Amino acid sequence: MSSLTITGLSKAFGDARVVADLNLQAAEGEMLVLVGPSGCGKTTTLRCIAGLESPSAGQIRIGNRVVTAVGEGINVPPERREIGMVFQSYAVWPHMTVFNNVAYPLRATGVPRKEIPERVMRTLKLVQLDQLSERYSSQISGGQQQRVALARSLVAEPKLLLFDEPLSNLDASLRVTMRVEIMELQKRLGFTAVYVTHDQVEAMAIADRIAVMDHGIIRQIGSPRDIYDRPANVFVAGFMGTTNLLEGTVSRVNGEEAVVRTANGIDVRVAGANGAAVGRPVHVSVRPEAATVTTRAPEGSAENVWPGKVTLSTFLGDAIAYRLDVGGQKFEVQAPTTDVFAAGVDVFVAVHPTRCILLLE
Amino acid sequence: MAEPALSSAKRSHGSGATSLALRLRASGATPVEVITITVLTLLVLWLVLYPVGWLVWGAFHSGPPGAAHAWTLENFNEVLFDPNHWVVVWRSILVGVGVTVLATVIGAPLAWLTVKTDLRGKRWVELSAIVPFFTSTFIGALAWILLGNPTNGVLKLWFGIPINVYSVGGIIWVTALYMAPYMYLFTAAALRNMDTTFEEASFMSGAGLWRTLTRVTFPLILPALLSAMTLVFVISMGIFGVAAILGFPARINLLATDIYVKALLIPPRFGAATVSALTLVVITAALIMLQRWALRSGSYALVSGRGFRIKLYALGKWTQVAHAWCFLYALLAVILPAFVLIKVSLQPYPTPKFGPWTLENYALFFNNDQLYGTLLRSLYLSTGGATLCVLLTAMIAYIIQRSHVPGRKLLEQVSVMPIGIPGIVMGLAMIWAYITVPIWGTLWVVIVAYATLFMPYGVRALGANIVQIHPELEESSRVHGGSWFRTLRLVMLPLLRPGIYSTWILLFIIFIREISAAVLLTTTNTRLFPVLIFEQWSAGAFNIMCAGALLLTVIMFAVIMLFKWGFKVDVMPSYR
Repeated sequence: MSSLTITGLSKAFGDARVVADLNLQAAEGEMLVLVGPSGCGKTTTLRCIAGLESPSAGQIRIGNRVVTAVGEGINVPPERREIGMVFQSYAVWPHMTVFNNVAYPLRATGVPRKEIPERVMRTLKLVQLDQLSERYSSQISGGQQQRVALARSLVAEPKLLLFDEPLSNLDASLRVTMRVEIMELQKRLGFTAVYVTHDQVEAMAIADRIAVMDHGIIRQIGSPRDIYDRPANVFVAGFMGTTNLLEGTVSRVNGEEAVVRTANGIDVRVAGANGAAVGRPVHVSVRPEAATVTTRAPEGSAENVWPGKVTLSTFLGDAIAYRLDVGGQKFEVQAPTTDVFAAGVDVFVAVHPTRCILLLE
Repeated sequence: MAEPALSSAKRSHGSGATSLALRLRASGATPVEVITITVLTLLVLWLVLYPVGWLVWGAFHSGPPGAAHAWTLENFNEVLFDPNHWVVVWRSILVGVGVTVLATVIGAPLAWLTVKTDLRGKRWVELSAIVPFFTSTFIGALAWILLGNPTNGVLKLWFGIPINVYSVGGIIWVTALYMAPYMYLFTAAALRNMDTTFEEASFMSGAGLWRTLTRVTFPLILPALLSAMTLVFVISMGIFGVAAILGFPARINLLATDIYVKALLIPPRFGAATVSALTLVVITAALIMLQRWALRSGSYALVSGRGFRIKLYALGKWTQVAHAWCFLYALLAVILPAFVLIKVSLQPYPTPKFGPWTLENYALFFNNDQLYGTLLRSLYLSTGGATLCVLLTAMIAYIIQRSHVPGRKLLEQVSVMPIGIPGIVMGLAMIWAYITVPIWGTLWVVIVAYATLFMPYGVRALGANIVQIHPELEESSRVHGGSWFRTLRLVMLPLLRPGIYSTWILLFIIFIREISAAVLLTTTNTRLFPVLIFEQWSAGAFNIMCAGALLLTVIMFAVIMLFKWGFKVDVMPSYR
């Protein structure tokens, strides 16, 4: 049984369709991340789940309870959905102490008064804020406010937690710390979570499963590994990390292997060419770290080898980023710092066919 | 399995009402919300449109309010073909334009100096711009007849400055002096909110101060400036106190005083007064529409969201000039008027000499039952009226800013309409609308009139406060189990409290000093304090008049101080 089931969800603001016929499920205890560029509909989807936005069509089920069914006129208000939510702005109430902020969901849902202090303090301990329970939000740091928001969303032990870009207002190092803490809490307490972010690195780090959204539809859904290594389309390949997108047509299919000829006349051998037909226009995605740069052509190699010229070489500390010109095509490579080639040097680029991903759309 | 409580929402798409109910339900509104919003919208529509409707009706009928029957065009005939009417119209427009220009010339530089330069003593400049804002044009005019009358004005007797405030120029001058704070406040707010990097980018591109001011700063604050100027024009077109006090002695009528005179003639010419009132409303409404049209593309986003420090220009050798400008304004708008009001209020008869001194004029207000009763009545009215108006406008502002319910746009448009209705016009409209109703002749009519007239101020001030409260603070309450009402009570109201207090003060002050709407609307039983002061003026009792004006000022400042120290509320008017 899944904890969250969304079927046929659509949301239009005036003429603009922000979410279009979206179907999505989250299993119990799963961390599902919605990722995509701004305006892709991920936040709207999350707000529909929370009941803060009323969808134009579709059905949402939390556990086995229907909370939204547009056709039947069902739209359970947010306060009766039994969920928790962490907002981008934290939304820690400035006129209440940390304790009262966290106690709010318990009081609002009529938990017996006697239980409240104990449950609040237990939750505050979980996020290491038990010492600051009497402070106001103006007296604590941004990271601590984030923890208050987290404690508040957890205290009523909801089945489903929603995160709306919770880390985007924190500085880089704190972001990593909080990310790890959210992951640990989630594994420990076992809640189901839907997490919205525009940061693909954050998405890959935290997700059990990622749904990549664009223009209101899901372009691909799968494990972080799947999404990164086997993107289903040009959009996903480009959005999740940097990549070289080579445009061309299939010139030959040889069993599992296909050859794609790019517009610049480079032949790219691609492994796993399922469904490719000769003459079909396609893209090939090659990650910068999948390619190697050498000065001598590797002989008799199974790899694709193309001559090129270094146009820009950027030292990154743990790696070097090269921008190459391969037969008129720009090509990015991320290489170890063992050999360094300056701009202007003639080189060879080598990529194994299994690391060239054929994209049909 | 559906939520049982909500299965009642499952209905067939039958009648129009049912489908509207479904639409409302689909927008996420609870029944409490829907009922509140419907009742409120109807109330506001009634408050604004009912008297205005009667005014239009009255213009087309013969006979006085309450006894008008026959349909006629005679009123229009009488007024629109009267050449004198058009003299009054053009003179009113001249006054409106003159006041707007002069108030801008005075107020905008003061704002720039306090916000953007290293001028010293800014708190004093600010104070001398705020004080006239609260004391109002009416009290200012009272002081200026003592300062600037052509026979024995203080300026003439002591300084040999021969000015005559009983003239169109005098009306423009005094009104502009006390409307300049509006320009100051709006301009200062716009300048404070403007990201300094816009100007820095201009300097980095090689432009000097003048070029930056004219090509970058001015265009950026222009929308704010235009709305402030519209407001000043509309207010000064409908102003009654100054126009009467400075205009009547010289037989100069403006539209506001023309309406008053026609309505109080014996026999009264209510129909003609009503047509005059409609002329006034048509002009103000046209100007407001013109401003909306000019700003149709919306104002620029001046606020970038990130924090920034305002770079202060060094005035250098211009410091003296700037100080002189600020001091001159304080002298003319605050110091001299205050001096002359205090002096005259402490003397038994008008005299240019110092002494003899007396407290009799003040004692009168407490010893005479009728005067004391009027003072108390004004206090009751302002306290009760401000409270009711804050409650009403808080709900309106909340719905406008926060709800997604269809129909809120209508509520917004109707609730700001009274901006274009001058007080005296509202007074006349209320007579038409309520003279046959049992609440006529009670303070309730006055409260209803004031609440309607000043609704836009409350809606704007509270709206500006609500916008500051991040929507996620409320959403977070809803998601974590708080109902709509609980969210309102435990999250919205506490966060809005400072805004509610400062709006209350603003409305209290506007209510207690209001004269335009009061002159026609109040009867012997409901006479209010400003009207009383006006009557002392008519009777030539200048010493008592000054004592009354000062008492009124003292009450206003006592309330401001009470809130400042008691509730730690900043009383700067925040509607912008």
